[in-house]
Amino acid sequence: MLQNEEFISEFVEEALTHIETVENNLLHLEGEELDLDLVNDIFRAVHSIKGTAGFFALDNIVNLAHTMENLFGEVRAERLELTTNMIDSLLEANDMLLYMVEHVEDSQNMDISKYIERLNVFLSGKDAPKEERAHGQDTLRESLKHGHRLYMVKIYLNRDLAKQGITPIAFFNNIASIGNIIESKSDISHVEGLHNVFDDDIELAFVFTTVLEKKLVAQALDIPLSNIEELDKDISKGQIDKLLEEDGREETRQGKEKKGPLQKANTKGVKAHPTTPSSKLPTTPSSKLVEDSIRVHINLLNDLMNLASELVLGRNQLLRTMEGHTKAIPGIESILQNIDHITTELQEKIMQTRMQPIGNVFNKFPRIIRDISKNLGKEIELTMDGVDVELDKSIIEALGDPLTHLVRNAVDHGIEKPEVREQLGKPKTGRVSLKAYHEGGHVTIDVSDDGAGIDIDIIKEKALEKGIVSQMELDEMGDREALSLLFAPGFSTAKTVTDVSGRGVGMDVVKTNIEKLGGSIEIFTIKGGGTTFRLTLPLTLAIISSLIVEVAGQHFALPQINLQEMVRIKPGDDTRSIEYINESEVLRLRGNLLPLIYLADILGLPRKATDEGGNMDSIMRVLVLKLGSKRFGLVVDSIYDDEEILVKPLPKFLKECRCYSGVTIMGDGSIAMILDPQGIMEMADLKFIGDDGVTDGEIDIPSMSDSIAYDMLLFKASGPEVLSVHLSQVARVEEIQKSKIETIGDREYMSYRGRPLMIIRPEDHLPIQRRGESGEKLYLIIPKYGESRVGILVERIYDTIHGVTDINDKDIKVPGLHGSILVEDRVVLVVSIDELIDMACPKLYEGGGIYGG
Amino acid sequence: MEGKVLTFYLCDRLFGIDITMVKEINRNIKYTPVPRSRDYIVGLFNMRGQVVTLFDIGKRLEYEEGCNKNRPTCITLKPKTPDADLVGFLIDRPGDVLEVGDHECEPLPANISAVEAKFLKEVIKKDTELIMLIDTEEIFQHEL
Repeated sequence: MLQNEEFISEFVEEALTHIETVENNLLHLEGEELDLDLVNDIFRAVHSIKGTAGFFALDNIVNLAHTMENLFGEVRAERLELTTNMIDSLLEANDMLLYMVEHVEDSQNMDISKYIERLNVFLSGKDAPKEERAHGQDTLRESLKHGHRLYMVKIYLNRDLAKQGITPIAFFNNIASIGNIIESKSDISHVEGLHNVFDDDIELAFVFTTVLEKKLVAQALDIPLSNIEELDKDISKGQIDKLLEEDGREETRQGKEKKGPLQKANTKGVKAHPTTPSSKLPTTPSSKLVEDSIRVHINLLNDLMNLASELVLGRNQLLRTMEGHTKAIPGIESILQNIDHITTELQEKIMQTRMQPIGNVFNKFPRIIRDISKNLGKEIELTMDGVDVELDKSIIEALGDPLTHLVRNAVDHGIEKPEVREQLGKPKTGRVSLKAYHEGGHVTIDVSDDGAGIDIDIIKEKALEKGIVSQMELDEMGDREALSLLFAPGFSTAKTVTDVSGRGVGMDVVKTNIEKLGGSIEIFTIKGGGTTFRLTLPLTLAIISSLIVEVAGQHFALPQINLQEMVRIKPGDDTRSIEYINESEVLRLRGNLLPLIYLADILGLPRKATDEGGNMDSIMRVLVLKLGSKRFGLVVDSIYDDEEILVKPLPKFLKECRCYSGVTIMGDGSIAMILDPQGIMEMADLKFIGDDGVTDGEIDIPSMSDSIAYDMLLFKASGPEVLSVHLSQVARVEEIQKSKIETIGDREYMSYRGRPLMIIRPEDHLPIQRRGESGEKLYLIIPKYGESRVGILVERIYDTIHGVTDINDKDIKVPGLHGSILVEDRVVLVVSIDELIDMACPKLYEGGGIYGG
Repeated sequence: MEGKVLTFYLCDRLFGIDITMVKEINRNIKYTPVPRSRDYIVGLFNMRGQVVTLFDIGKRLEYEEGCNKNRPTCITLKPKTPDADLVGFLIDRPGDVLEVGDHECEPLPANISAVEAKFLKEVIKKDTELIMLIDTEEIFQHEL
């Protein structure tokens, strides 16, 4: 019977939710004042597990849940105080329960005696069963006092319920929703195991009280009137038990041995239970069964998502085809617009169906933190923000391990011991916080602690010791680069290996996993003040941002994630030229040699750019790709726009082509291959020093010291001074025509990507010379943090350089300038973009916007 | 075999395929070649959002001519399972749909080439012509 499997899977699903409730509430209760609502929730959850497990003859689950329930009953009645010890035991028991529910088929063979014993220690001294009966009696009396009637319902699982498609669990819940269950029992005495449960029919019997009349009960539960029997109100608890037992005996009298009632469900606490008052009689009982969510197979959702994506492509093609013809067909314009809108909305909604709240991952951390902090003798408070932030299901699933690693690290390495913290004048309790929020089409997750922070010197020392970097490189490294050493393979700073973290699987795995998801990870740390790991993740995996490139007339998509920069090499440009080491071509890029690979060679297509003599006959375009610590330049013929593309899996017939990671359909309906930089690197057979973990101490290509954060962009305004800005502050540099600049009032604007962009001339605000512009061609530096609303107008872009000297901020100290640096014996002024924007348009930073007034 | 056969021309030869295997015929398709793939793979084309891998049966059968790549026409096969990769192959032009009975079929003659023996199933004898029935199982088998 297929349905029976469904019953069980429904039981498992429901029990899992209950177990989670128990765990969460237990953790909340710890150290807090007794919150009866929470205890009641736990009680009800455990009770439900017990009740429903009984239907499937899952004795072990029933017994364990029963013992837990008893203990909670005592706590609720405030006869027992909830101690940390007790919570420990309860959590353990709850874990066992979880394990049994997850492996429901084997649950009967598991040994639960030690958990029960441990819980019984707390109950010892009390005659638990007797007390419990008294409770049942209380509920009964209490309910009857409020005008409840007492009923007994007998029903057969297969004959009555399954036929109607009602699961025993749903039935149990139905009864609970109209009244209070006093006793429930399933006659499973002739059932030997889970597999046999459904071979024979099972009789379920419930005794419950409700305000409803017999007829209404029959209606509400959707069962024949004959199955319901009204009992005498003065009946005692003992008589009820007897009634139930007699019943069972009748059913199984054919010489079968009768066990006692296997489960007695006592629903206590009238207050907490939803009792239907007579004024709100359920006149339409069926409406009770209406749920606001349904279960759908994930495959169906995947199909829907694919179809929606196709629809988007179809719409794009339609719109493009119709572009020139809208005038000829009256009314078509609005129809097209409508289709456009609906398609977009449809796609968004379908994407949403796959979205899950990040809380699903976060929820396991309270427990992890509790266990680890106990283990390590630390006091830690966990705060979680943004649990409602939603991400694609596949990302949520893949986030679990990296996040766990980061949280464990924060607790283990980050937070100090309480006594150390006190000495440092910090609060004794350390704080770990998990925060998820949306930012610019991405989701950011911050894992922060207020612990010791990361000691960069120790990192450097360690990296040197493990041979990850050379002393020379270290000397050149800034703090940020040194921090990124944490992500180098084989790096672990834990002084001793604990069972919490530092087991050799290091941060590199975290980084790799996050990058696999198309995300990135950053570290911010203050020595002594704490550390924040910031993960930036795409909302969904299926769509990635990529650059479209062309080789030999064919288009390919290259994932942006690996792209660092693009270099154009003009023929005859002395500053950037291709050099040769034997046969291999390299590009000297800011002092480092970058190995070059021709995409055409990799793909077996003809090269375009060089003639027979090896001379370049046109501009050469190099994409600088970075994979982990390895960098190389990929030469392509042309570079097109970046495009958000939908990734489709590679057909199996192309699996052996290592240079592709997938297929995509472009806006014009044609197919393009998605390039796999890793595969390309392997095919080109690039040998990077340090590949096998051995370094010779003399690495200069390609090294980890190339973080662009320390690179400067050199340029000049109208005057002769050489200025520079941190490349990390620059979003883009755009070439513009002088004639495009418009003057409005005393300010200059130009249209940029459909929005007005305010132009800042450095010479207006900085103490530098002003001269007339020489040519029509000018450049705009678009800063990263100006939200594309301001651009800095410059006359020439010189180059980018690797900044290793310290900034001299003593000799030249004016607003708008950080100071100066020496580049090839010339003084270069370092412009502070933030201050410059602030001087040019103070309102931008006051939240009012530049146009506001 | 018994049933309907779709005939098609390829490299000036007449072939047949069991029509129950065929999903559709696509004319004048635009496909994207895939560098570094097997020589018998012509490329990929977009059939209403689904990616179809195009085979060159001519290459597979080791005919020198290869298939016609101007105004390409292809036969796309039904996928065996709903999530299997779609495959198709280029043809010169489609022929007819013929009713074929068992009595018209004969095993392959002994003197054909080894490759043909591998990828063809049977010969159908019609009054004026012989039709080579292709073995789709074998042809679209992907050996690694």
